[in-house]
Amino acid sequence: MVEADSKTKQLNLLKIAILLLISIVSIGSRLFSVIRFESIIHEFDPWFNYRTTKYLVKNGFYEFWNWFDPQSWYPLGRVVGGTLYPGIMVTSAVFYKVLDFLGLHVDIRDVCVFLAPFFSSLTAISAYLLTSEVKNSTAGLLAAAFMGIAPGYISRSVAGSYDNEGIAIFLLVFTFYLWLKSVRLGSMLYGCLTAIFYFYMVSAWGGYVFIINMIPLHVFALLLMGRFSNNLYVSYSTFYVIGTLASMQIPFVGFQPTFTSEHMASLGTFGLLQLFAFAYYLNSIVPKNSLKLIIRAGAVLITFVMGLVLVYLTITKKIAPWTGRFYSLWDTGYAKIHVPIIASVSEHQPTVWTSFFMDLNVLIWLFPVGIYFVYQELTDNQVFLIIYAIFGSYFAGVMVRLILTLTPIVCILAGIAVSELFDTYLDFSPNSKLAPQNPNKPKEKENIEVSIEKSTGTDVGNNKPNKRTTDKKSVTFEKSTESTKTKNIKQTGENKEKMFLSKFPKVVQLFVTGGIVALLTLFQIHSTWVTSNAYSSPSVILSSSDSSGNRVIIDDFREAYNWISQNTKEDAKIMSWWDYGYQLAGMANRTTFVDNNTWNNTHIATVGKILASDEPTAYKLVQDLDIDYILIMYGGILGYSGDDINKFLWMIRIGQGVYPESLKEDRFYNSQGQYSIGDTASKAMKDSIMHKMSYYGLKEVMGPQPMDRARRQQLPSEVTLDYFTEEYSSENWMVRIYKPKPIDILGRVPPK
Amino acid sequence: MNATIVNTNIIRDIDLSDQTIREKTRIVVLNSPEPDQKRTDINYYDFLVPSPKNEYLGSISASEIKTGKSLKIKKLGENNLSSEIYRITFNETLGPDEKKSIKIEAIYTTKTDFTPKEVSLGEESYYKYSENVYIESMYATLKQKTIFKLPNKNIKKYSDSPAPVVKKDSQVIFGPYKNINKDEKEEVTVLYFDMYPRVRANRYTRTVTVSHWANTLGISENFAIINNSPNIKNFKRSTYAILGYSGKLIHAFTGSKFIIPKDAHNIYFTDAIGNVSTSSIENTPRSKLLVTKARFPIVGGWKYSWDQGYHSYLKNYLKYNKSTNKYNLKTLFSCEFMNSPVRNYELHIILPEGARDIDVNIPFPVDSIEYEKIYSYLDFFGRTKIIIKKKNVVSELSKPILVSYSYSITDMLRKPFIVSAFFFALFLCRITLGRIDYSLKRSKTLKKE
Repeated sequence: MVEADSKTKQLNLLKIAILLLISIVSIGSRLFSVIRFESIIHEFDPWFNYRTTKYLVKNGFYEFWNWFDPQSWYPLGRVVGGTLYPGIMVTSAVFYKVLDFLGLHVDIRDVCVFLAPFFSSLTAISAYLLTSEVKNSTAGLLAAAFMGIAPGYISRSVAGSYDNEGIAIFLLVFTFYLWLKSVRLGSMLYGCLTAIFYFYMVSAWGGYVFIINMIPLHVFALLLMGRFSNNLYVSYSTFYVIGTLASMQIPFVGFQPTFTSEHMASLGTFGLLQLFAFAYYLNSIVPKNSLKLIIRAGAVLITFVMGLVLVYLTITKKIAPWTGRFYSLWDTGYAKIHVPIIASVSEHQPTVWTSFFMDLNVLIWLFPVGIYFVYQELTDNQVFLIIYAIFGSYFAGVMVRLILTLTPIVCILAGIAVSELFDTYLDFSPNSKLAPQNPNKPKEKENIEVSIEKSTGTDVGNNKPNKRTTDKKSVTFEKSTESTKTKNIKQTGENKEKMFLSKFPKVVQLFVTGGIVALLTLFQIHSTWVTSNAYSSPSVILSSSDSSGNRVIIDDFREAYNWISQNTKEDAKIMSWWDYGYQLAGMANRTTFVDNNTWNNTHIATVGKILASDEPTAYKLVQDLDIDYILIMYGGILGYSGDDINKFLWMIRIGQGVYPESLKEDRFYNSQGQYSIGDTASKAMKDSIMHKMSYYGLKEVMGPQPMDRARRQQLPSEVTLDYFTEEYSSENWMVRIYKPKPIDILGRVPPK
Repeated sequence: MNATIVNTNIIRDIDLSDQTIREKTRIVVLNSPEPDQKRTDINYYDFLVPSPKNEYLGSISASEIKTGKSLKIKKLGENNLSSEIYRITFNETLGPDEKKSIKIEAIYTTKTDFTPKEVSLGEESYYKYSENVYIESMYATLKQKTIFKLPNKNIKKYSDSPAPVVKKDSQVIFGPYKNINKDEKEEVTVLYFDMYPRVRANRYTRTVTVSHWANTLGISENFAIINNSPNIKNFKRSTYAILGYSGKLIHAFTGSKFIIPKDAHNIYFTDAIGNVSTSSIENTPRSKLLVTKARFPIVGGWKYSWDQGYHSYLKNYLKYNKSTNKYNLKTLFSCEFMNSPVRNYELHIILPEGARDIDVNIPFPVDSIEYEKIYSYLDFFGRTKIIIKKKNVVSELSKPILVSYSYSITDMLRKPFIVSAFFFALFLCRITLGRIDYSLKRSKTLKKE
């Protein structure tokens, strides 16, 4: 007894040690960007989160909650407190305050930068918990290890990627873990905890909708499978009521859970569950014959009433119509036609198969294997995994960024698959599953116990698979000896192949194990490679190498933003395409017209129209809108393809949606129907201020054959600019800032 | 008022060739009492720094020309003149009818003027300096001369009156003028060319952090500078690039070099958005050189601000004095930044938690010394921050200062003790909580017993 106790203690210690190592690895592999570059906030949205976090830390929670930001969406402004998910900001503010209280004074920027890696280690641990909950701790540890290094998740959680997803994936996995635990135990406590973490998730990411649809779906599936139980009833009722009430406390969510279609499934399931419970209750007190009648009549009546209510609510628009982003989840072509602003974002594009391989690598093959193993047992909780797997895969196929929600389940199922394989093939003891069997000789019990004692005594790691096999009473074991082997050869039928292999069990075992280990090693190498090469660029800073191979840092964005913050008036209003709105606000601290929040399509379309107009039209609009500076990105010198000229068609499309009479996409294609620049471009293209501002003055510094390196085309031979003056261009001409000329005294157009 | 002094001859050099304006005034002082006056010995000379120049006075020093010995100079308090009076005390008294030559060197941080006010890149533009050609003095002046020393021969324009005015190489000489009335004023102007910018730091804060535990002296400096050269109307990158290739670029400040100690490590150069990657370290035999390049070229009228810093080994700067039982910290008052003037300078010295009996020794007057309590890493009672403020700091003030304080070993051990106590408490909590049975039912083990 004492010995066994000490053994479990040893095992626990080993598990903790492994989890600790996994945590370290998962944090460590996310630090490439900090080591290669520096501790800096990445990309676009994180700059907004960072800015709001700074505001929260500086001004306190209530100020933050009521923050009206006049610096964005000029002249409209933005009610920041009511239009964001505050989870991540509050989390880092709490971390910051706690560290500050403990006397560890760190920069809030560092808290923000390292938040996502820290939470990724928690995600790995919750993946362990979840998998242990549905399967066993071997699978759990493997799942945790996969979770820690899967590139699909790393892509959104490297140091500096201070975005909602950074903490949301942890919350997603942990909420699911709590949910499964509460279903298994039928515990109200865990139901409440699920609801609380669901609330945290709601406060952190719009993807909470995934939870509030997955859990009802799980319940619904269990009901269909006839697996209604009091446990299910208790946990779902607790979760739904508390979770929904809690989620409504977030101003951005508000009353949505009561009327939007995304939340209807959970409400419906809640109602259905009540009916089921009621039916079961009736079942216990009413005789069977009349019960059938009651249930049938009730079902018809309720369906009818519910249908009527639904129709009524939809007609009266109480139930909000489906939003564009939601449609594009079902029809990938929808956005392209109807909502260009959604389609223009690269992360909303449908996923190509290569990115599955890139983000998940070998896990993508182990994933179905895991599903197979889960089907073998199919407990209530394992049903959940299957549902999650199906929906996760679907959504990941529709939108690139949703690979993120697929990654946890892939890791979990792959963990299960590998652990099953290891359980089978790594068991070198004589009575393993692979050892020749003879059901005629049932003398197993004694042998097993002996072997367990032996293996656990020598190696703690090997002990676990043994334990599992003893739990499974359906499998019978036999001590393998030479005599039983020879007997087995005579056996016929389906066992033939197995018997052939069982001649060399160790060879096969070694081969399979070696193969899996090699595969996992490859996976690890691949993950590290992808992380370091694809996902660790801050995108604010670019790096390239010069002719002798030295690394060159290209820092044009910060150069220009810093110039703006130092050398323009504090209330200067800067117009740029919406991609750069958050960065401008965060780094240059200036008023912007449109930003990455993209809530006002008209505003964005207006900016698109200005950029696509000729000088006089643009000048008038610029005057009307009180624009002080126009900022554009140009990558033709460096060969940077993500610049504004390449995004220009989207600007035109978005502008066209609002100003169809003055902006037409066709006009920007030349007579050959090509979208080109320079002298071969169409007239509208050549006249547009985007084209002029991109190429203004560029020819003077280029050689005799000036080329645009991003598009590999000749530069225009002449570019004039009469209404605007160049105020600043960065070192590599990436960022160009123009100013409208002031109206001159004589009111001349263009001003002289 | 002692009027027995007469300035027999004054020669004033105004050096405009560098970032700061250096005025060197050589005066032959004669103690010449009028026949009706009492013949007394004189042991001081009052020097006037007229307004508004006095607002920008960075440093002033006086010396005797013959012996080269420096003389004591001290600002006098309130007076009814518009100028400020600096009293120079002689080492030996000046008897009646005796002569003495003294030299006064004043450095000003005055903002440079220029004309035209706004130009395009590459257009010609000039710095402008105006000054009262007659030297203000409390005493009668027999003969005087003002020499403007300019950076080069390219002098666009200078006032041609009052005669005589002579241009000689890179100098413009006004005078000599004889027997000028004390109150007479005549402003003269020189327009001169210099391809180098006039850079001025509007704000410069240097923070020195002493850490006994880490054995480091942390230096961090924050600069906010402005290029006081003719303002650039619009910055056309192509013009800038072409001018840069052909070496015709003028008045652009792109970066500078800072001398930092040999033992400096953890060196950084950042600004509000983060690391500025275009900086490097060069090693020289006696020190290191931090070569910085600003994020963008700072042409006329543009501003830039940044942080830089490094760590040094504390043992090279801190000495323990056994006789007084105090630590003595020796550190530079400020660091040289291209000889550029600093308008508002602050020196912060953060001493370790528990430092007492603090004494600050600065060899020249400063505007204010304040003490503040701040909380830093793992502080329990807070540590003292000395804030020394001074306006108009020039590179001549980059002298060592001395800060002494007492600090005991118990102060040093407090921090690790608190940290270990915290962890001990944490583990204790866990142990206690782990032993409490929360379940409502009696646990099985209890039943068994």
